[in-house]
Amino acid sequence: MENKEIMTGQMLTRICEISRLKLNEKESESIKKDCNSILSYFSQIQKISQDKVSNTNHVFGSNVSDLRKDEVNSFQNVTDIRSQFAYVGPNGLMKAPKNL
Amino acid sequence: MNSYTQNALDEVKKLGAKKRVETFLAKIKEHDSQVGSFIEVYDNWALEQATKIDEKISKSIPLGIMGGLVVAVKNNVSIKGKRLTCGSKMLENYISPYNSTAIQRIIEEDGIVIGSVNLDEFCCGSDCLKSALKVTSNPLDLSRVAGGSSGGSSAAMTAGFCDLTLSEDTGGSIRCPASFCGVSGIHPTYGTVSRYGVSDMAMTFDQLGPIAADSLGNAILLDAISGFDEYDSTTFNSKKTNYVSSLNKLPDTLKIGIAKQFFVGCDNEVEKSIRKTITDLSKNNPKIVFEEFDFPLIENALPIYYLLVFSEFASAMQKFDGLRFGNKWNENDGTDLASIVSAVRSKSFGTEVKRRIILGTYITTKEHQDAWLTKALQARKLLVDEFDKIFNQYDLLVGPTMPMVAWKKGELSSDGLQMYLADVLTVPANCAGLPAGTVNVGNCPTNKMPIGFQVIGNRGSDELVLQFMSAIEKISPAYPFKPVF
Repeated sequence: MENKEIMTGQMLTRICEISRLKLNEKESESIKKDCNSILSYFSQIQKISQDKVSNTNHVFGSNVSDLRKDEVNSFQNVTDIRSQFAYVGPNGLMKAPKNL
Repeated sequence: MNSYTQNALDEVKKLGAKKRVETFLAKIKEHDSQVGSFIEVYDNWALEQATKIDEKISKSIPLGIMGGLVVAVKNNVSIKGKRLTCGSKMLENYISPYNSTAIQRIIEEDGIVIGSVNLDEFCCGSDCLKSALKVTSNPLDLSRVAGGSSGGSSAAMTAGFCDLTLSEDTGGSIRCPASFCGVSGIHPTYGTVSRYGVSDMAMTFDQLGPIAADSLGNAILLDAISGFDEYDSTTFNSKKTNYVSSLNKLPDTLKIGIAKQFFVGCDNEVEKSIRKTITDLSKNNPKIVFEEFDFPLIENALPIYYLLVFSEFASAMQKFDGLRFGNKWNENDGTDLASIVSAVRSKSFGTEVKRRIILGTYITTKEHQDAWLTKALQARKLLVDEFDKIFNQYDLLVGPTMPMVAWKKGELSSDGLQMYLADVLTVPANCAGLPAGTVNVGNCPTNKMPIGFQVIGNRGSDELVLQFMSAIEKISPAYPFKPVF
């Protein structure tokens, strides 16, 4: 199998920085080699014809059951808003009510 | 002949739950140092639970679905007050603050939780050699792997350390180890069992399920844990199941598909054994029709699965920063926030976890997501649609669970790709959220290691999958293997 350099050393350094991971030199070499072999093998996915195919949102192709419906109320003033919270501290901090 | 699980249920009433727990505890104490299946054994708690069961029996109070059976639990499922390590140094000393819904239901249905069992770190592996805490060996041949990631569960079953195990399957983590250790297990339809209290690896794939000695054991545990849960919005809001009562009601007439691709790259002995089972099933059930068909898209299931798992996994691991979650940082870790988080993550995660985080981060970056993540999401949709068409023609799909038997430790290259390729037959069901079970159908003549037969059903047809697994057991009795000790 041909291993193209998809993950370069520079790219790996950047990805590690974003991922908050520090690799030593040995680890870095080995992971770079593995990533290239894995991505090279998985690049077969780019050959599938996917015109007009939507992304999968859920394996059942429908919505999940029993999500709580949003209830939107209009509030006239700050007192009404504050009254919706389970706890309002003396410093103005508010604790949101439990959903479940 | 009674099944293993039926015998266990009878024993609870005859010998008493406490006596049985004592026997299991003694066995674990004597032999688990060889197997390495348990992370923690709850001696006192298990005895307390058993005493309560015995009190119910003595007062003639009917027992719940679990009937006093003893359960070991994969250590990525929360049990209040117990360590939840996920096989990682990152969570080595983390104590669960609450019970997962599945554990709560097992306890309420009179199951006895005996301990937590090993897994590959955060479920990343197919051999249970990637746990940061211990190595789990196959009780049938200690030089071989137990499979993964639920290797501790399957090993505990085969070693006779419990009656059932509660496990979790993201891409074959129930079926691979069950196949390698000669027991059975089922990945239920996605949404059948609540994931509340389960440490997530890839939330659109993860699903809890049982590993048991036989289909009755699987049906009992699934009856106990399945059903709607207000804490997991992906669970079905359907009426309570009863897999046990329908277990022996396999329809007379079925049309079963065998994808030609299931045998590509499969070991000869595995293929022979699967084909022999199909022939035997045909002889025993003349109205069941088996038909081979072509399913080329399934060859893309492996990249679809892994690319999506990488991205979901990298996201799930972000919370482990050493500040709020995971190993706490210390003054040697650095002087600024970024250095501290990097230091904690780098020393606490194993190589496979790091590899997956890096790959997941790479494919989700703005410049690469169209080429990888979006393609994988679209291909998953194509695969799901193709499965829908196939299940318009067939009631079930069957084939091997794994293309090989349990390999020797160190035999498979550690570069990741070789390990991923071993999952080629289990991941398609997870990509489409389908129920898929494995049942043992004999062993390889050369090395005597077990071979698993996989049964895949349409979404929601878990009952039919279990019925078919039960029919296979009639021609190939479950649990024929003995551990080496």
